[in-house]
Amino acid sequence: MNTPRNNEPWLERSLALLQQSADGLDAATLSRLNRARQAALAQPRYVARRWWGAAAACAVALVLALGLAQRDRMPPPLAAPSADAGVIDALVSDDDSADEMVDDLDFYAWLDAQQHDDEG
Amino acid sequence: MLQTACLMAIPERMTDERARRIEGAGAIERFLRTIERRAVRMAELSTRQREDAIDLVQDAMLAFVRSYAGRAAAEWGPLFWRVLDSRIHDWHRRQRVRGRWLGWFGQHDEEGEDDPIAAAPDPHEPGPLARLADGEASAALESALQALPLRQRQAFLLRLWEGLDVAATARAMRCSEGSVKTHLSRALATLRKRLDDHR
Repeated sequence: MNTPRNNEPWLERSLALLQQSADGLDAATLSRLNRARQAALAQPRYVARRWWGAAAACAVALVLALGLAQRDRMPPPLAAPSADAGVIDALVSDDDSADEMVDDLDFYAWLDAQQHDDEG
Repeated sequence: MLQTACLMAIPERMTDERARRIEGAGAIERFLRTIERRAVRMAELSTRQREDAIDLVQDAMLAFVRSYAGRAAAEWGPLFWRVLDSRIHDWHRRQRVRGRWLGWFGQHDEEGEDDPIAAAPDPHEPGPLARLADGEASAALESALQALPLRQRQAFLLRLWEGLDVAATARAMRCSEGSVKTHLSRALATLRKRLDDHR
């Protein structure tokens, strides 16, 4: 024991008596101390909380890594549409103007023939 | 590839961690076993009641394991005594509040460092410690320690009985090293007067 002034007899005796009183605790007290110790050890501890924190951080990192990998596998974006493609898109699109154009194809053919006749 | 390696490594790391925790739990239990008896006696000298002392030690064990089990084993000693010292102080505060409400003034204020009544020798003190049989000597020592102000008693018990150095005692008592030396010097002077001066 690290005692700076244990050369004094009364102090040496005092410390010895204190230790004697601690060593001589009754069985009921020791039993309660044992239960207290077991209860303290059975509770969740700082180490466990730290482990769960690390596991959560690992899971987040894994999700991010998977997200980045999926993004790399996606096809490149389409090229800008040309003028002809715009006409085709207009013909095949679902809007009403395209439907009317298809329905009046005979009219446009007659109009075209009339223009050729006028020129001829 | 990297993810697969990571997933393969987790069970192994869990096993290692589990093993460390089991080993750590064993070390903490051994540590608590070595200090619990002195802890009860230290608390009992403050509370003068065994039941309250055991309750304080139990609270201290719970708080210590919950908060400091992850620290290095070398730090456990001062940290445990710090927790217990804090519990003892809380107990005294509650007693003072209760005393005010009940109008009970029989017990002197433990914080009164310069209380002349506390420092005065007990006229019923049985005499020099060295001449007494163990039972009587223990009673004289108990009486002398209980009469010390709380801070002086804690400095004496932590520094000389528990064997903490000055820095560790200061950490446990949440005060400066100078305060520890002052408290200890006063405690030794009072105890020497009560236990040794009658020779």
